[in-house]
Amino acid sequence: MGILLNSFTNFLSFQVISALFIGVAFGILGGALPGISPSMTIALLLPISLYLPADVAIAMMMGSYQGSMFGGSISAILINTPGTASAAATTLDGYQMALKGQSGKALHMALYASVTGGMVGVIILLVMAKPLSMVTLKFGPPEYFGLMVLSLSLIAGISGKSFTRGLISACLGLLMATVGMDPIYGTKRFTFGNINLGDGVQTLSIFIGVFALAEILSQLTKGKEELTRKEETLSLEQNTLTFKEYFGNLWTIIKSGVIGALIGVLPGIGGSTACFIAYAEAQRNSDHPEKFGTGIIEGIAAPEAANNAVAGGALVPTLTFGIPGDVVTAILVGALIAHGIKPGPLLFTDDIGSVYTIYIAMFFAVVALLVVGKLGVPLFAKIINLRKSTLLPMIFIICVVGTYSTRTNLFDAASMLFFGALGFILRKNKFPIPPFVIAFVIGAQLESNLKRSLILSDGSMSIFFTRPISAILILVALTMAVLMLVRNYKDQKKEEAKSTE
Amino acid sequence: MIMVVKSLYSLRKQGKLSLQTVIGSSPSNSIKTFLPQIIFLAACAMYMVLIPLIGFITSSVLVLTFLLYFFGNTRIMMNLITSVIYVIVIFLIFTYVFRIKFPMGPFGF
Repeated sequence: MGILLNSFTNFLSFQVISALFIGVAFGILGGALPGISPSMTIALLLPISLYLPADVAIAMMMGSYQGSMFGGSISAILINTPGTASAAATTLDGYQMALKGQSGKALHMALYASVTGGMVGVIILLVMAKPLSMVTLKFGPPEYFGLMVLSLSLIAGISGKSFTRGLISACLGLLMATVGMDPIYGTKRFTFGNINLGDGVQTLSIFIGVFALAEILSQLTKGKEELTRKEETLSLEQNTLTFKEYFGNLWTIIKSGVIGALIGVLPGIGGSTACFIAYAEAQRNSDHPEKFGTGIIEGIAAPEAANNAVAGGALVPTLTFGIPGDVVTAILVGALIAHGIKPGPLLFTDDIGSVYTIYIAMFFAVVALLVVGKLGVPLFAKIINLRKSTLLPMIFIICVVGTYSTRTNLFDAASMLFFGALGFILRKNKFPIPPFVIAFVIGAQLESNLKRSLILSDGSMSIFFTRPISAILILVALTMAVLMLVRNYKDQKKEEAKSTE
Repeated sequence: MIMVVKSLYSLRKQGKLSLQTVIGSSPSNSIKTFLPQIIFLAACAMYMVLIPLIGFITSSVLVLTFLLYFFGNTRIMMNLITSVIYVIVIFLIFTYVFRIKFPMGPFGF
């Protein structure tokens, strides 16, 4: 309890609170601008956060996480383009409401649903994280290895259509993680004699390259007309939400929040699926399911509550296992490690203060979202039709400066370019990005657990199968792999049958 | 030894892949479709070369002006003014708030 109070009082400083609000504002902005994803926003904030003390940085990252989850709904409602993938479900009813002249009401619903959903996510995080960490505390290196293999293969299977492509992507990520110092012996590997690679590939270069630069490159395919076009924005009407409308939907919101948070806990599924499930669930339980899609308020409440709740849920495996379930939490893990906070079960015994700081940051991020959202929505509604042709080159400069500044090393900026090109090529060839990034982030952990297990067993692979938990985990991973390959094979057969007809 | 095991392990994973799947139909990879990306990356590479030679500010203004034009903003004077203001703001923020040293050109800026 003393530690909790201590973290709490540390948190209530001017610096932390202002970082929180700045994070939320940037998050909403990044989420609202179509073509700028939450992962891109947070990746671009990462270099700045490295200059700040740990608690200030955590506040900023959590703020931008929550903010960007809400921000997507602004453009979903006003220009019928989801600003983030997870706001796709919000466009269904949001845009219809805006067409009816109820954009103010729709945005307020989105905000209150996001805030309530975010709170549900925080509660789920509080309830689940500690008990789970007690379980994993008994894990040894072989169990950890099994757990990581299982989550990686799940992520590889779910994040794209083809399991094989997901696996190739994951292997590429693991390969990138092997560059630099060997975690046990300290031998230098794959550095090609380059001093700059001695510490391995910089995490920041990968994040900014793959999320920001690759995005800019793929926006370029759209052509100049598309890039210079100003989006047609519906005006923000002055109508607001009544108490009755909010409390009438409270049950839907809480239920959607729980759905979102629980889906967030599972690795690899992510926000957009959670939102569509919550939307479908709200529709199924509604008295008037036929009205969904014509602009009713439940259709906004459900997905918006779900996508902010995902944030809390996704932090559960991230903090307890050290295994991020989606790309945003992968970036958070990168940020935490850079601040010397190592997510994993040991965090709960050795550094409970940091865990509390994260909880508190998450809680206040939701509160800050309410404040910034309430005051700032009219402003954000004006900014979202910034032309991409101006915005993207400016973001490019920030990418270069951000990667350069962490070590004041141009090599990092150049490798950011390399990973941007790589990310673009992967994306164009339908290789999913999440397995690549998540594999890179947990690569060092995976490898050191593999090596420690092999040291325990004198180099025999049997250790993974003689210990019951790791045997079960690895067998589940293998079964999943076979099932997913069979499914892919069937899909492929179907495709072929279709194309020959 | 362990490194060999590790690499064998990942090779086995990849080997398994090549047996059982076909890397679908290859998308059109002709140079022409990706010309914008290639020009963009070439400009970026130029930028990396220029930074140590003529300094961060000058090279960034040049590259940003070009990129703004390349992305479809046709008014070059406007692009130049935007670039100068933007780059100087970024430079000041990173120099005075985050204490980053940027490479300077032969003219002292």
